[in-house]
Amino acid sequence: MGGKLSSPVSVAAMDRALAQFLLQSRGRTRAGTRPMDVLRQICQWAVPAAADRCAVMAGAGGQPRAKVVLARAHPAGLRIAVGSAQAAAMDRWLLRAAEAVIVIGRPVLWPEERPVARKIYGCPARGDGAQAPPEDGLWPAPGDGDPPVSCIAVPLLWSRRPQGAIVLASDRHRYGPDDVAFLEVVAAHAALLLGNVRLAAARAGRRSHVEVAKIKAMAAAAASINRQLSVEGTVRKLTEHARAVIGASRAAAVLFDAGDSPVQAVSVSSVPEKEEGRGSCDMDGLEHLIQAGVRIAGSLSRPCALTRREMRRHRAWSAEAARQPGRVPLDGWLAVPMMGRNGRRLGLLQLWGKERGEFDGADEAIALDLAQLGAVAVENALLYQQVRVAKQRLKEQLEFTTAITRTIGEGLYAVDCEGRLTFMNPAAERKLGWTAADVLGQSPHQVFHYRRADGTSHPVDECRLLGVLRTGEPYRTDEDVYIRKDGTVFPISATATPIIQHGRVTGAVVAFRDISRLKETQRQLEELTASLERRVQDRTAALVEANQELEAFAYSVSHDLRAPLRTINGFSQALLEDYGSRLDDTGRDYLARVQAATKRMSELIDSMLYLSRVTRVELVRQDVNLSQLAREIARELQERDPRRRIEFCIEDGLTVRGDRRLLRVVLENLLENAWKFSGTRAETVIEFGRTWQDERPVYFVRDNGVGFDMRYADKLFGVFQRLHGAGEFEGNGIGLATVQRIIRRHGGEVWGVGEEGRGATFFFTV
Amino acid sequence: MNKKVILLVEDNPDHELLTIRALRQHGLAGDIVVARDGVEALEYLFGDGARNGEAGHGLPHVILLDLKLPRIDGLEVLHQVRSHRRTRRLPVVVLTSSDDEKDMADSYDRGANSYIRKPVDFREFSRITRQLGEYWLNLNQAPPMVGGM
Repeated sequence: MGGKLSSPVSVAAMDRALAQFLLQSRGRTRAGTRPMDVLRQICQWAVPAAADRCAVMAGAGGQPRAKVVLARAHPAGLRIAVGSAQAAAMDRWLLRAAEAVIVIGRPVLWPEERPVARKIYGCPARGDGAQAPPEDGLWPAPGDGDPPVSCIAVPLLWSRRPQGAIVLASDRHRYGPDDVAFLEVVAAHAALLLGNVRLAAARAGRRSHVEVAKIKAMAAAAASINRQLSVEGTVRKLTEHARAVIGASRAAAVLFDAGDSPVQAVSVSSVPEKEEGRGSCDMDGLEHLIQAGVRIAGSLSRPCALTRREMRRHRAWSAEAARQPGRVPLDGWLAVPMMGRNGRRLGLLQLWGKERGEFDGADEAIALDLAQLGAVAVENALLYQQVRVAKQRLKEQLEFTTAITRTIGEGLYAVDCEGRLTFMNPAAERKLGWTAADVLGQSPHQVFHYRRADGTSHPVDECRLLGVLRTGEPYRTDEDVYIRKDGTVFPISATATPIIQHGRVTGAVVAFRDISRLKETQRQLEELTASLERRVQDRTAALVEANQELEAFAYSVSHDLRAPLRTINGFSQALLEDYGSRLDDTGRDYLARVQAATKRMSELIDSMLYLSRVTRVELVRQDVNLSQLAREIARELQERDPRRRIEFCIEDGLTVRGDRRLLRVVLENLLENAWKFSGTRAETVIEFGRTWQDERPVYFVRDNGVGFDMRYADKLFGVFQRLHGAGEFEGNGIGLATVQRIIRRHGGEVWGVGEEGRGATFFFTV
Repeated sequence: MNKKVILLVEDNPDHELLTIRALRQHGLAGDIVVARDGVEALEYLFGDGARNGEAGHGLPHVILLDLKLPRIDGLEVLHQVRSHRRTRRLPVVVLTSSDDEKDMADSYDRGANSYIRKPVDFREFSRITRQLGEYWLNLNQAPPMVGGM
């Protein structure tokens, strides 16, 4: 087998070849056409389109091998052998295969299957003799000529009897199950064709009314089915026409999904009483029958026809009838699969109850034809439906998008890849004063973006919003301005986003907002901030000045107020020293009082200065260990009077953040007060610790001294306020005032709790 | 030239009187020259008289300097004294009623040898003055004269 061979067999090629064959053969059964012509046609269709070799065998009655045509691809062209002698000489192997499949009675895919005769769907395989032939030894043996790589052999069934065979063989490719299904369709058609030829020959050109009516009905059915756009309509028409053309009492078509489960069923039935008109869609009446048929047909991929008698003897059907008494009439059944383009089983067409006679091969062929037609129409309808759904979705999407762009407050416009306006939403129209109709097709830059914020012209080359068409990267700006139709300018915040399709920038969408108000607010805010800063500066300057004045005042107090005191004190002393002998005791006492008063006043001045310094000094905040400070001070106090018996109780690890020097002053004053006012006690206990109040730490200094009357508690912290006589306890009256000032400068509070004769406690927070 | 001279710079006549009284009370041997403000003090130190070796006077042994003075104040006087080669080693004792930290720091920064705060109590002042005199006139070794004058 050298030379040019067929292109690889594919479903598409088979499909094309089939379509061509059907087209050619349709209506060709004119008077004068011989069966041999049909056989030759089949061979010519098959080689080289679908096979390298083809054998077609047909006969009538008990002679299925009467006629044989064998074709073989040859570099010079097609070689055809006619008649068994020639055929045997040309390809003995193929001839044997054709003979074998007539005996086997069902399609054979070789070498995938071991070809043995067996029963299918209750249809016994029949040979040309009355007895079933031996199952082995049918198929060509290795000695029977040269075997192909792959082969499909299908019997030609006429009235369900094998009346011939078609064998396709490839010397290069392997056939698959899909190819078998298609060859079956071809075989069914060929059988119909042969039947018609035979009928025509027998009646010598006088076609029966029934035949003519059937051909007309088929044509009408084809037209009607093809007109349907919906899947349902297609299936309905298919069912109706199949029932009417074949003349069955009931018909049903079931569609399967990809998983082979029924998804859609349409059934029609004519009323048994032969009321004219189409039967209604009576699912209830037929459903159980349809389901039974689907179950029995299983994964049927070829037609099956049962006569009344065969149906009664059929195991599965009789079981169904027994299971549902009275509901499954066993009055003949014809089932044809609907095969899709890719070889998938789309559905199943079933008919029951042949009105005249029994279902035969001709009915099978018609049903197959209609089912095929229906399958194509269903697939088209499915496709159409998908397109319609997609279109509807697209429309909804578009409406949704349009609704959004119409209602959002942001201005939106779009440009094409040349930077020309293609779209503008109402918000953009409002903001710019242009209508879309005015400016579509123009450059947005030239229409409303031709100036910069500073008023200078803005060349289109430097426009970064349109620049996204070049860069393909989104761009955002808050610094640009747009110009309205009336020439007024407003600041914008805009984002340009390129539209990229298949890796190319095909346009851009720009969304913008008028940020006049934002800018105005920003400006006001800046102004306010500036004015606040100015005020702060003014106040600070005033404060600094006041402080300086106070400092100058304090300095002058320290220096100038003290000078006269010194003079008074000095001359009193000089008087005492130089003229003391001339004064009596009273005189001398007066002078002593003058001197004491000057000293006292000097101390007051010192205290005031000290207080003012505490108030003015700058705080240096750091972590301060109060416990440690308290311990240092306690040691100093102890050393001041070693004879006093004092017990200091100081809590450990009390640390705060503040000015170390000033906090020492606080503790010095409080501890010294405690030390001072407990001086009359035989044994003094001074405590420093921490307690909690409202989850804030509160520090305290407690003593067991003379205490104070709570009625005067508010006077504790006044300047030069004393609750005890000057002669009783020393002190200048500014200790607690100083403490209060320091604590307040730290943002804290200080207060005292006491009882006369029972000690005092001073609390403070930092 | 043998007599030790104290230059007292003091604008308050009362205080001048009291200071001199205190110094005299303790019988300090030496002349007390009084300048009533900074100008007078600088005139005494740098004027014609100071430069004229024969008829004039030499440098004082110690200056008792008040800070708050009319016209040129004490800190400026101190500054001038320390700026001139001839006077820069002169012992200067700041004697003032100010206890301002800034005054104290400024005085030392400009080279004061001592800073004494005048107390109001005269008896205390008298005691301080005596110590001062004893220390600066008797105990302390005067610096060598600069430039042979």
